[in-house]
Amino acid sequence: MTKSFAGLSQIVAQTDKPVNALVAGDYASYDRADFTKIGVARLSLGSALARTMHRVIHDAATVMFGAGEFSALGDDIDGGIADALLAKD
Amino acid sequence: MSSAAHAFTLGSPDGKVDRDTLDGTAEAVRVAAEVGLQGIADDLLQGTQTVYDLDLAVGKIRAATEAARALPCDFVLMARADGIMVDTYDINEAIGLLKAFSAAGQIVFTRL
Repeated sequence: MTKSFAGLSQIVAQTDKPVNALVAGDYASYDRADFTKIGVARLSLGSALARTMHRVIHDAATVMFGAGEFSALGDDIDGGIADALLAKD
Repeated sequence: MSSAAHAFTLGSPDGKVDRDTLDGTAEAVRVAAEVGLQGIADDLLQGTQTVYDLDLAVGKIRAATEAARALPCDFVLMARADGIMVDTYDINEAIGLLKAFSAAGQIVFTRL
């Protein structure tokens, strides 16, 4: 069996420890309830969220340094929201 | 937190912050706990595409297990089967590998 959601289900069934699934690639098309249904105990992101951030940096920089346009900067997060996240324990 | 994210902050590519030895793996557990992390995952890849041979992979998990059990706090340790992701082995072989990790004492962790 190749990599698939069914394969993940098979891993959960045939191993005796809690299984953590890394939500990346094709797995991003499933939601938390889907993972719960097959018995996955924990979800993590690996580099997926970081790579999403890198995509934003890459695409914005490409336009800025290429066409010299800056519209990608218009959808930024409010600094107060970001700072509030950092303040959480 | 991910090693790729960490490497990026250092200006390094993914796979350049690996701990490829048993002692290095145990040290990673101790340092992670020291700075307040509650667990780590080992992707058991050398670089980003090459899986460790079985003995080294299981040895790393055993070394990490011993280091984690010596900590004064709870610590989650995940052994990953990234060989599926990089097409080195299939699900059946991954299950065998995860059972070997489990025998070494750990939570199993998979990425498809």
